[in-house]
Amino acid sequence: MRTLALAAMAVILPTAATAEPWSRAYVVDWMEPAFFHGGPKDENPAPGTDCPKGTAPPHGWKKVLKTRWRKDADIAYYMDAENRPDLQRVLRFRGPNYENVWEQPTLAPDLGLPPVTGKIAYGFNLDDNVKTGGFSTPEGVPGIDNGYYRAGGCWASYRGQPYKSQRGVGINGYMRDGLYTVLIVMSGNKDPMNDDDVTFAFYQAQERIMKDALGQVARDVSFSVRPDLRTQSIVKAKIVDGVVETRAPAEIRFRDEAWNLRMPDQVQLIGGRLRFQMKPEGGLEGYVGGYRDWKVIYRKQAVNGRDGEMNQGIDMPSFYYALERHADADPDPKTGKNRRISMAYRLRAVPAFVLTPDSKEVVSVPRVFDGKPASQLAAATATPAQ
Amino acid sequence: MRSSRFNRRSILRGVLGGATVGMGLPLLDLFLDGNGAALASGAPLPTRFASFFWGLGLTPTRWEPKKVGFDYDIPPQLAFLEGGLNKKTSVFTGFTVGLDGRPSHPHWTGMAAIMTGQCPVKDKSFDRLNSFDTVISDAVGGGTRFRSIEATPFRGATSSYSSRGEDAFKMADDSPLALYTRLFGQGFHDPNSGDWAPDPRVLVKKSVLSTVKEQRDVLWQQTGASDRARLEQYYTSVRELEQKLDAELRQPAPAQACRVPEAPVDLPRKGDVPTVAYNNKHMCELIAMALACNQTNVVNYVFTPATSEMYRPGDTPVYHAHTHEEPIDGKLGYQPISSELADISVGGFGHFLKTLDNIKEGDGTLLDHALVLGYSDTGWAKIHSIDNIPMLLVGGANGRHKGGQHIKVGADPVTRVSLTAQQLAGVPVGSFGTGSMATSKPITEVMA
Amino acid sequence: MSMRALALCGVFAVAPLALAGCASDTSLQANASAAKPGEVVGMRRLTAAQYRQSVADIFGADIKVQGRFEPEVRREGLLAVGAAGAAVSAAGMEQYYAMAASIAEQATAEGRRAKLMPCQPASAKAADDVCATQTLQKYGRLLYRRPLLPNELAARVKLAHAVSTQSGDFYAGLREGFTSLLTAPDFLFRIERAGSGRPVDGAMPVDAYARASRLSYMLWNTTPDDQLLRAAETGDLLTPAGLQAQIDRLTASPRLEEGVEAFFDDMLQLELFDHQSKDPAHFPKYSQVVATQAREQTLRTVVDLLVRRNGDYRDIFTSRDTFMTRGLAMVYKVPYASKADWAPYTFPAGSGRSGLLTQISFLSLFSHPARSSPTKRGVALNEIFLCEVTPAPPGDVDFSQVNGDAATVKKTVRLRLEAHATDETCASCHSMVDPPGLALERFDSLGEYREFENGERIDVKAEMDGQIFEGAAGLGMLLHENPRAPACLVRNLFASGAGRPAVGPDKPTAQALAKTFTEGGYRLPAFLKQLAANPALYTARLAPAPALPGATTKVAARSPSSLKETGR
Repeated sequence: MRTLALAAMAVILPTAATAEPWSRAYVVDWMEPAFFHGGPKDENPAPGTDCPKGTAPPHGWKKVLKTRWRKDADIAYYMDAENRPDLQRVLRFRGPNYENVWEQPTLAPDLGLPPVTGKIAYGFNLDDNVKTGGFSTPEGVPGIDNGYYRAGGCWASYRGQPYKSQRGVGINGYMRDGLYTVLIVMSGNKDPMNDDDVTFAFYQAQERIMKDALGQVARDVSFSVRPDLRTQSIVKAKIVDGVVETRAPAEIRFRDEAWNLRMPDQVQLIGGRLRFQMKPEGGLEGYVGGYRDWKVIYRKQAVNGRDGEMNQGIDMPSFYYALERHADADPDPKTGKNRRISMAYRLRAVPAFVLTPDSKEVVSVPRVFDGKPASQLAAATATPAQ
Repeated sequence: MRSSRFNRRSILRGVLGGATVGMGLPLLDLFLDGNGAALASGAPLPTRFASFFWGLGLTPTRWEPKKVGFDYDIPPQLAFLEGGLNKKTSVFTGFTVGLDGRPSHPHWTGMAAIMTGQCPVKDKSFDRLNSFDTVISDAVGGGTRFRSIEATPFRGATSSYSSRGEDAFKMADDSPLALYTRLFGQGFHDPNSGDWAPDPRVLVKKSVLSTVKEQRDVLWQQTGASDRARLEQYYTSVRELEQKLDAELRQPAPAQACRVPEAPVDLPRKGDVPTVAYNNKHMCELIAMALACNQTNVVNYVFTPATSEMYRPGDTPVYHAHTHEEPIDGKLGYQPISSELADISVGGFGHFLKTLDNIKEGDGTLLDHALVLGYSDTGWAKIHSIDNIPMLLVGGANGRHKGGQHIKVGADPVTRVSLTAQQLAGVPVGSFGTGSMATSKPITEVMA
Repeated sequence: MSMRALALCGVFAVAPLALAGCASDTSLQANASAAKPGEVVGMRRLTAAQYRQSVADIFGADIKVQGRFEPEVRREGLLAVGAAGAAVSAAGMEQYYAMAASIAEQATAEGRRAKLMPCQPASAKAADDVCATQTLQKYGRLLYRRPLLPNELAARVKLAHAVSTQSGDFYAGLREGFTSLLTAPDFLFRIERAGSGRPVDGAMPVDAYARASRLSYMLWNTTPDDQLLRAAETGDLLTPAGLQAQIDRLTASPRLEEGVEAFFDDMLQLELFDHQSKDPAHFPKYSQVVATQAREQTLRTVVDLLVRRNGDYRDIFTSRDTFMTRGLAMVYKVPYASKADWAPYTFPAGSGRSGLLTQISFLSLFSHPARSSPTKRGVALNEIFLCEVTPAPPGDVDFSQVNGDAATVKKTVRLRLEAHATDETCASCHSMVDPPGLALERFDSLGEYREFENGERIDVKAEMDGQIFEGAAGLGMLLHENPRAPACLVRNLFASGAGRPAVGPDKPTAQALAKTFTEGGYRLPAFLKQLAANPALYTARLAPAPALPGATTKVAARSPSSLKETGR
């Protein structure tokens, strides 16, 4: 790693003629799991190299509802659309003793969730081992680790071209409508397109995203930092010909994508890396990845279990088992089971102004803002761990 | 205002301020101000207004005409426009809802924005604003037995999207028989029974104008030639308003289209497509007759609530669930079952329009004397999009609406359509909406 | 009456200015002398803003005024002048009636009665002529801006009596009485009558009530309050001391800002925002909110500079101080360092922004929906700030050089507009109009800063009146030093107050006032006091012909410029 960084420095030194402080700030206008779609373009559910049998089929409520204590007549009753409110109410209760299996998934059987079997994925070679992971990027970089993709990549709503999956469109719609706002600030002292010592920060904003007349995230809007360490991180990066990359794996935290404020707010990646392209019109586009606590990923879905199961046909316990199966880092010293799973997010951002929490000055060099978390945030993180 | 225009004595109580003292008939002459003789037959037909809501929008690729302007092509989902209704219909696309930093409540914000001009802070609320149909009702609802009528063919959807503020939503009848009883049961007076009296509020209006006119001569004497022309124009305008009032004071032509319908039979309360269709058919007929028989001038109809739980017989998922869970068919490019249910929903709207258009009235049809806003809550239900929510204006609005056009805009606020509807219905309102949805720009292309 | 005559002599005595032009125009003198005291010499329709503010001041700010106002007419650069020739159409009458009924309904609603009523009716369920008379008299005076005549009052009391009796509701009767007053021409128009004084400068003095109205609408943009009406009733207002006392009171009030705001909203043609549209494909940042805030930004800037800070008027062309919102900051591409809705802001020196001409309001209003227009900006600048109107282009213009294939070769507007120079007919006007517009070309149709157009660096050098200048800053400096700019403001202030343009026999008055403004260091509050004390402001000239809106007027909704933009 060290040698890599030095090599990069050697390359950029001749071009680093200008040497004055610079700063760039952005608001994230898109965030989604970086899943590769191997199917035909614009045909999200169709089979493809990623999922040769197509989208993971719903298990069917009839099958899901089957427990040793529930009568067939009851199941038939719930299958009638007229009784949908009752189905919604009871769906989660299917443990051996009427337990809520969204909260206690191991009380339900693993009905199986077909994994991604393709060879291509987005993300990073997180363990610097080309032999693990089993994926290459579309450009051919081998050893890509993305266990989250392998576990969930065949869900109907996750599939699709970048920016085109139903889930991505939906969840980013909530962000754009103001549920939360993610900011990026970068600074350096050389040429903004080639600088080997860049400070890169993720923040969450206090203000909602502003949309423009075309319904896109408006550019050049001012946001002030929410002084909250949970969704804030500062890492060292380098820029080579407009490509921003972490200098070394680091812990990266930022505000997670979410449908609502009940979902966990924080992404915390261990061994995190990022790679962004600075685009000519001023934006950023790229990936951030690392190892994440897979139970948080599960909880994120399970707090919306009704949506996942009723509206997307995904059996929550089976998703739990799939994540557990593909977890690939941070073994528990006692059980030996992996507690973290490799993953990557796709992010896109547009230029913005980022100000200090009191909105008084521009944050031109990233620094830590550690005021008390806002009360709203406390509520957002109050989801009980299972 | 529940007093009937057909019972002279009853209206004279109440209308003038809710008091209990009755108005002696001879005293009417004081208000008539010597114009009693002007009362003759031939008052113009009122402009009726209906809002027709269906839940979950339409299928993005299947309802927007490709051609903009007149003679637009009829897209598959608007097939009911074929055969002439297209000439009476304006289709609006490209409009959007400006959130102004407020949350987008799924299946609520879009509808609320159209009806109140503001995105409510709280879900299932209008921020205590009134919906614009009530403004129309105040302007054109006078003189009828009901200020407005709310109905829904979907069982249990008894909360309409009409509110006079304070987030009190008017109750909708959800069974054909209940609607029948309300409209044609006890208290119904046949408008053709000959028992007619002028609306005393119009008489008061005339008296107000005569006090204004009284001072004309003095002012005229004082005014020099340079300003006389404008003074004369002012008084000409007063006279024109008086003439309009005179027309309102004339006994209306017999409600020739009014036929008191038979009482319908209710089916068991279910939310499946055949039951909703049955209810819709009967309710459309009842409402058409309620309008033709001058029982109301304003209707708010909710085909299904925004999160429509209508379902196809035998299906387990309801319509709303389909929109979220059904995959997009790669070949078709849309969700087939959801789209089928959207066809059925907007088809219910088509049935409503056809029912009105089949009733001959005066020089045209009931629909020619009405303005109907068809709208929904979302542009694409799958992702709760509030861009490009389907909106249509149908009906002649007594010659004010220049239909037959597809109006496509960049991203104008939906309130422009709401404002246009109000102006076409005859409301003296110049602007509508707040924040980025504040507009004083009606869509003049569709205004004759 | 004799006291009034005396008072007028007093006014003359302190106003040599007005006397100067006294004998200069005999025809107008003859015209004016034709107006007998009490005769109507002016009818100015209330603007929408004046109507709203008047209702708010009389019945309460929480009364909702909902309705469509008739389109306002701009004449001689001002809606205030257009109002003096505006009529009420049949459709407008319906609107006015509906608004009147709604206002009356709200004003007499149960919860407001304690505040509204000067008396208690004997019974809430019956007519009470004594209390109705007292109430209608009180509000009639405020609405008509003069006491009601006996027959005017009697007609309303009779109406109220009838309705109260029939409905069994005292307040229903009162409501209809109010509706009648609010519908009357005496409320909808500021009807001005001739006073009994001798002609001033060949113009007829108006009576004390018209004087009160002019003063009140000019300084506060609202109806005269009780004190002002009392000063008119007693004749005090016709004495120099009485007038001065009222001027001092009105100008000392923070409400002076409302008057100044209304005047600049009119002069800067900001009502064009009501009808503005921008192509969202080119200007996704544009929205109704941005438009509303851009209008407010300009008014806040002007009021802050000219009233609160008592600044030099000419600084409106150069000052970098303004006010910002988060939405406006997005368009200006600057950080918004505040948590408040509005915050003071000073553009950095190198930002290219200085003065009103570089605000979104001017830049975006005088542009096409999708592209900037140096011609539109130039025409507007000349008309608004220098009172110089550009004639319309000839009908047979050949646009082939600026449109079509030739235009695609010429990448910048400047190159396209240079085609004008080759045609003498065009050049005569465009040489006046285009240079200031070209200097502003670094701002696009929304007012966003840009350096390039179609890949070509935008050249903002220009020449005007033989002086070469560069960009918005250069243009601002030039206007700052142009004596026609403050003179134009003075003309507009006079025209707005008097309801007629400062032309013909009023020209010398305007010139003298301009001198006063200059000598006072271009400070607006002090000048407004001087203007308000000038008897010429309280005169009327009878127009020879009926002044209905016609071919010579422009509807406010349109752009002020009829000169065809050639870059289209």
